[in-house]
Amino acid sequence: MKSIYIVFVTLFAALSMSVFAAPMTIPMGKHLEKGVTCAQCHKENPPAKAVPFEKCESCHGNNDAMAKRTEKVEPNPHFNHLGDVTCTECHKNHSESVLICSNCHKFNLKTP
Amino acid sequence: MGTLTRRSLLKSGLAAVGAGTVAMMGRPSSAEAATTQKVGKAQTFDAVIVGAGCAGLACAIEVHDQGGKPVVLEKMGRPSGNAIFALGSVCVTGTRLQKEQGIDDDSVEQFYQDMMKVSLQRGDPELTRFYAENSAEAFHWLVDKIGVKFKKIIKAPYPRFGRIHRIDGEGITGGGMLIRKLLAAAKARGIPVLYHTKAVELLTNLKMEVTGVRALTPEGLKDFNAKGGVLIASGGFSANREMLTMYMGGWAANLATRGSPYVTGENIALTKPLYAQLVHMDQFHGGPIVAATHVNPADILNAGYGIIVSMQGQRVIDEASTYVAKAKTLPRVTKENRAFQICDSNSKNPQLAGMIKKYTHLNSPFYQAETLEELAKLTDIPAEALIKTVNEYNDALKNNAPAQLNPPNTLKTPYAVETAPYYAFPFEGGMTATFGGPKINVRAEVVNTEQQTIPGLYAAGNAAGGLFYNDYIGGCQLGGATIFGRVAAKEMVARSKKA
Ligand SMILES: Cc1cc2nc3c(=O)[nH]c(=O)nc-3n(C[C@H](O)[C@H](O)[C@H](O)COP(=O)(O)OP(=O)(O)OC[C@H]3O[C@@H](n4cnc5c(N)ncnc54)[C@H](O)[C@@H]3O)c2cc1C
Ligand code: HEC
Ligand code: HEC
Ligand code: HEC
Ligand code: HEC
Repeated sequence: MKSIYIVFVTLFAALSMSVFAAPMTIPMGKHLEKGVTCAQCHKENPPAKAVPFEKCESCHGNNDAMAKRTEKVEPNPHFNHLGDVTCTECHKNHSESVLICSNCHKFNLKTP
Repeated sequence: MGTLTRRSLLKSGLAAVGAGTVAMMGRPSSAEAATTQKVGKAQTFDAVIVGAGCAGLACAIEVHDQGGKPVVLEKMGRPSGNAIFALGSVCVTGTRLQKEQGIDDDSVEQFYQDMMKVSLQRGDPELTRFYAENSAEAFHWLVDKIGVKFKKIIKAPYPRFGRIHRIDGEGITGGGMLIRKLLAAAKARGIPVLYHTKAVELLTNLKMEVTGVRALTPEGLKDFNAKGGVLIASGGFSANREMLTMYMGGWAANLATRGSPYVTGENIALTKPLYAQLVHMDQFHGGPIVAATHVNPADILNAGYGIIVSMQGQRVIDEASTYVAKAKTLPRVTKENRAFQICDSNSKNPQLAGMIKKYTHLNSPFYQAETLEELAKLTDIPAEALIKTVNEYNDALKNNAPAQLNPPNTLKTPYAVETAPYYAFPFEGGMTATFGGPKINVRAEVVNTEQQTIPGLYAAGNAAGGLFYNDYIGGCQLGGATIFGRVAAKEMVARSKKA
């Protein structure tokens, strides 16, 4: 964890002050571990804007593809009655992810 | 309009609904952005459709299939009305599926009579007859043109009989599957469905004929001109507390919302300035719901076992009334709009095991105890009151006088609450959908206060008024949205060709 922190500190130091204000309490999790770089998601340099869901789909596939991957999960978060929910409505890359179903349900699902 | 900047729009509350959510929610963000034009520049279509629900999408597809050019405006990032929550019953008669299953004991006339009976003869007779006569055709359209799959019909008592055709949700709600299929059909036809585009005003000419819609888009206000007409398919006002209070009374605003939080009465707000005749405004469908988990407890309330008690431990509702009546009564007889269905372990109760499974599966709290004292402790009901209520109830059964209780219990065969363990299932009264709105005729044209049609203005589904009153036969709302959405399509295409 410490090394990850250092990477971030260095990164931040290189970025402008306004970027500093971004909430990065949970920096990237698996993406960092797997070596996914800022530029693979953010087309602007330095990163400053939210990333469109199409970017996520370019690596992971769309909801239909994801639904197959999590078909054993009950209920399947990627195939639901709300329809085509975009990835980033639930998965927050730099902060705690959410489960939008929880506005109405209490499922035992944890969103990575 | 061109002078409005994005920044100034974002400051206004209205913009916050559409624009503020765009960055995070816009499923079709990049794709749609490419097809939208510059702020303020109007585009012209044969039909402009407000709302991507069942009625709106059915209409758009039919407009296209009749040779017209439709556009669908949807204020949210995806269809977000009541349809996606619907179980998926579609109530129709005279279908191939009925024939295949040998169900031949119904007729259009009988269906019409039953629909009128359920609306206490107050539903518009012409709309009701039109529904009954066109229901089978609408069903076959859903199957043949949209590819909706239906399950085997399960026969039910009056007034559903062999009429309920249940959509196969393939793992999600039937309504959610219906919308997926309608969207796919719209996409296959190249029909533009513009998200984050909220209709805020109807455009008229100097004769006050409706000529289009002004909508708030991520780029600002934009006009959509309609050669044939505008369909209001924005759903009802079940999520608008101000309107519920205004048209029904404060008690109704205390009901939990069973379905969409986004059906907020634009059917009224958009059409009232044109003096549309608003009818059945105090009418709605209610149902029980566990607000915190959205578990539907209707089955256990219908089972015919046990009693319904308030948080204070009093019986509050005749257990023989329908689940609709129970839901509608609860906010009037309890201040919390909350009660418990108390059951014992009578092994004949056909719903108990299923309900335990459902509440458990959906992480919805319910309570089980060996004694009533313990149950009272778990539920926070005063123990003395609960025990007294149960004893009074059991005594009344012994004395053959449950109808003399206050409130009476008029179950045909009531059962004592006497076998441990005891169960308490909490629930709230909820609102499914409102029935009121601008009155339509059988051409789905909106009628004004002088009984004249408003040229170019159409309504269908929960947005339209006239078809339903008091209650409806389960499945007639999705049926009505499909039937009248498609009628509007045919009218608008014909009108556009004449223009
Ligand atoms: C829990 C539940 C179960 C149900 N089960 C059944 C059932 O089994 N069978 C049945 O027949 N009926 C059922 N119903 C009722 C049924 O869902 C509705 O009657 C039906 O969905 C109405 O469809 P609609 O197209 O009129 O509106 P909706 O599906 O409500 O769609 C309206 C759309 O318009 C959009 N909108 C609103 N205002 C604007 C605006 N200003 N600009 C642009 N877009 C706007 C909304 O975002 C929404 O997407 C159920 C309802 C609920 C809540
Ligand atoms: C897996 C894709 C992905 C990667 C990799 C990624 N980001 Fe992000 N980033 C996002 C998303 C999505 C958002 C939008 C906010 C959210 O979801 O948390 C975002 C938001 C941001 C923001 C804030 C913008 C705002 O809206 O406030 C900054 C700054 C940022 N990222 C910086 C970085 C840096 C620096 C890196 C590399 C260390 C990085 N990001 C790597 C996806 C990514
Ligand atoms: C450059 C390719 C790439 C992009 C772009 C990308 N991811 Fe990933 N993502 C990965 C890899 C690699 C993993 C680790 C292997 C896996 O789980 O697939 C991963 C893992 C994940 C996980 C699982 C995390 C866990 O802890 O198990 C989630 C959730 C996820 N990504 C969401 C997103 C979202 C949301 C976006 C868009 C904002 C996105 N990804 C964009 C490559 C990518
Ligand atoms: C409704 C919320 C929601 C949405 C929307 C959503 N996800 Fe997920 N996602 C989840 C949850 C919850 C899990 C954890 C499932 C589990 O328990 O294994 C998950 C798991 C994942 C994983 C890890 C899967 C694994 O095998 O461990 C990836 C990768 C992922 N999501 C990517 C995506 C992408 C890409 C999208 C958009 C196409 C998306 N998600 C949309 C809620 C969501
Ligand atoms: C706005 C509220 C709302 C949201 C958000 C929501 N649901 Fe639902 N859900 C409902 C309603 C209403 C029902 C139907 C309950 C009824 O029949 O009365 C339902 C039913 C369900 C059911 C069937 C439950 C049963 O009775 O077996 C499942 C499973 C479900 N939802 C999953 C999800 C998932 C997964 C998500 C998130 C991707 C989600 N829901 C988001 C309101 C919601």
